[in-house]
Amino acid sequence: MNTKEFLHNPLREGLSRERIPPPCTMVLYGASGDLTKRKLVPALFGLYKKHLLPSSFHLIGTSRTVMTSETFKANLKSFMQETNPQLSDSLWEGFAQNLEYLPGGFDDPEAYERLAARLRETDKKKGTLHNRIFYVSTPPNVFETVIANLGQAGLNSEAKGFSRIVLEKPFGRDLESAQYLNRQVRKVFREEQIYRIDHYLGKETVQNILVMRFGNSIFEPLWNRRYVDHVQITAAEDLGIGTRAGYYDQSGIIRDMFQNHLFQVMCLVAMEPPISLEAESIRDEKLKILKSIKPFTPENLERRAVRGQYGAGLLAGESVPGYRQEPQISENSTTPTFAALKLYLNTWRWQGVPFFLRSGKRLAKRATEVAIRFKDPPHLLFQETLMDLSPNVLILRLQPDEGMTLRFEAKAPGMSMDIRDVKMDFSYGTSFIQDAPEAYERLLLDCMLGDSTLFIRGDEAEAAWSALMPVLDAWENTPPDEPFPNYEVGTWGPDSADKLLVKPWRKWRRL
Amino acid sequence: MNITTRQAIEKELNELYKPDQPAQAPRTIGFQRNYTINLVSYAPNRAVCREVEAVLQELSPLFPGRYLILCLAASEETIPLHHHVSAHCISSPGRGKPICCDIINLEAKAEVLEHLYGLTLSLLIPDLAVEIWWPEDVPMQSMFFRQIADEADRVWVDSAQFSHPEASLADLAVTWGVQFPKTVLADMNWVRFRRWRNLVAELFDGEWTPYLAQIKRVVIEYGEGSQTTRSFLLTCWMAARLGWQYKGEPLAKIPAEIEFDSAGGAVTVVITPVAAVDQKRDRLFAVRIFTGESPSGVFTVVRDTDPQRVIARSEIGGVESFCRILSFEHLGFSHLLGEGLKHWGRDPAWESTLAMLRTILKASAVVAG
Repeated sequence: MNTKEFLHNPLREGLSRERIPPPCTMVLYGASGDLTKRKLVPALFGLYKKHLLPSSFHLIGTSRTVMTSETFKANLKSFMQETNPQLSDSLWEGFAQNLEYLPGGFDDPEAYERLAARLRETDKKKGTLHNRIFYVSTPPNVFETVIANLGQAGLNSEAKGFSRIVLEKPFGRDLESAQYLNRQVRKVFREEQIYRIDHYLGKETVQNILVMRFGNSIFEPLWNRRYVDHVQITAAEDLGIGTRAGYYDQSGIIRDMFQNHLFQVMCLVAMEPPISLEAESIRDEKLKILKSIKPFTPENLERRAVRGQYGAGLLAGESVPGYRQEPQISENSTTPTFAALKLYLNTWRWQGVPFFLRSGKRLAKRATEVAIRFKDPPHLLFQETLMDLSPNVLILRLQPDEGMTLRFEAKAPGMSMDIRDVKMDFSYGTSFIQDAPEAYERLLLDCMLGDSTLFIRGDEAEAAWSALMPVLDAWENTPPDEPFPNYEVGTWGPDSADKLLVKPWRKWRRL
Repeated sequence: MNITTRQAIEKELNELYKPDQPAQAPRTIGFQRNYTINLVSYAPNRAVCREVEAVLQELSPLFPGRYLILCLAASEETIPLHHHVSAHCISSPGRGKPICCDIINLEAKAEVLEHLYGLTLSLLIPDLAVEIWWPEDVPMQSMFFRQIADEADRVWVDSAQFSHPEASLADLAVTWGVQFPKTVLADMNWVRFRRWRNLVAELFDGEWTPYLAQIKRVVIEYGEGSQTTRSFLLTCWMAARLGWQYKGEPLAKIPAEIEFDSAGGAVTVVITPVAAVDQKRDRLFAVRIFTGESPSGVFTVVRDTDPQRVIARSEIGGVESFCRILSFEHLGFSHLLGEGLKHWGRDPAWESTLAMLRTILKASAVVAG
């Protein structure tokens, strides 16, 4: 059975806005890990509270850790209580009835046989209709093993119900490994069954980019090279690497933020209107953007990419160690914790308009935004106040204080023609006071519903890697131009990032 | 007492947001007035007025807006029209300034209320949707109602609160679209039993969908002594969604048994009372759906002895194939209205249900004439 058949129930018509998915079982690989307790289970619990889980839903957590279902549930509950002291016991118990734990080695074929048998039992007992979602939240080096074994056990079959696989990031660590992983997963699952997750796409504000662009008529006519001077996309974090030293030092900021999150946001900002909201239409348009990125070359790299690494400093009045002083990080590490890229898109719409992308750890504050900086008016009527004119900027604040701001010029009250810049502001927090669903809630629900719009297609992942490989290769094979660390904790990154801007009127936004 | 004009009301509202004394100003963190909708509500007396105000206060965190309550004053009142205003602020951690919205209470004698259209209109925030909540019988003869409903984007009624629900619903089904072609008619009763519709629909998801074509008999149970409106709306919904045809004459009352023709043969719907300890007005107690042979299916949604618990269950060929127990907490007006306001625009399922109701029930003589 697929989603279309499920929706064919005529009684569902008019109720479809509820988006209740069909019965299913979710198998969580890496269930003893951090993501399970911090994000996945809270998201499923959130859906349960909102009555958005399917009528019959079952979660089987699995990993190498040996523990009972009771311990699994108790650990989850205890974590949930830590983060939410008001957790209702009865609500949790109702939800926890649907959880169980099945230990097993990722490379142990018998574990998959046991799982298959358990799934058959669950279908029979709970009416989960042979619908399965395999959520692989393991270290990436195990992906291939899990996928192959699922295939061996016949769990990829859609003969009686759907079978979907969700792959957590990172999807590969370079183009070659992503291509290899795509080949491996496609040997077992069809592309329609594969859900590559990027939690950024689950954020309301990221989805709002589509609504803002294509649900209004006033923005799109200005959304091109004729009116836009440049676009800045910033994802700044004030935190360091936390407990992810091992992963981060091997990956760096480009793999961690650009290949997935920032590129996906850029795609939504830059893409052409899709012919429909069907997943494939949107993903086709995103792919065109990724493929249109003007290649980085050894000749242009210096002018188009800047890297940085934070050094010790003060953040909110407290002394914070530099990257190389973080636990498990080598004192000679050249892993970038900051990057700024200048991208050009070879498209009719965006020819000549630079897209500045920057992201960094331990910056001045946590903020993610897209800023569309418009060109100056063609004729400067207000000559006397010329120096005071500020450009129009449309800012899409993705987090925190989600919303939009349009900056424009207005006459200040008085007898003279004084001009001042003012802001028109829309804030999610004030217009929609209720909290937005967590990104994982939305993505898990979409996966259960078979809606892959907010997931990354294999060719998108490869195109993103392909665009970034010259940067990664160059940075991994040559030492930084300026010695690391080159920016202090609590600043907006290295001064050298300014060299990307070139034109005197362009400057990095201070968020 | 201030005279009731738009200017006076707006001025009083502005005053509300000013610090009481200049000395307080430095400590005042400031407010943000915010509007996402206009909601005009009617209350036939002071007691209902207070209830409506409480509902709107509960609603304001979800839909900050300009709320107007038109309260009918008792005939012995000496002042024909007066008002009071209040501000409702919500502050939550990490959201900066408290978000505030206004409630304007207009209390008017019947003859004044009939002419309040101009004032009401002038108090609405421009460019925002206008929702009307009319919690009792719809006064189609009232000039004020006709004017305000024509201006509104949507009018919320509650068929559970009508004095003659079946006649009123039949009348509305016939006249609404003609009188107010641009205004959506919405029923809180329809929102109220959405959970029941969801459960009934869910029983036929997936591999059980084919059983829909084999339905032979539906029994809907309601609390003895209460109304049958919701049971009847449920019947009309099923019939409309499943393409059942009603071939009989239009009826003056909701019948206990209705015959439909379907592609799979005749379908009988029985609406029957059951004794119930906890009787909420118009409450549904059970929906039992029986299908034909090969193998026969029984699909039920039943309120448990604990009225907060509902059991959805299906049985195919005598063997249980699905069972789910849910907790149905009571939904207050603020919840119902909040749920309804979330969805914008027309609801085709509701409209086709109303059309089916129009086929089965006869409109009143006044309307028909």
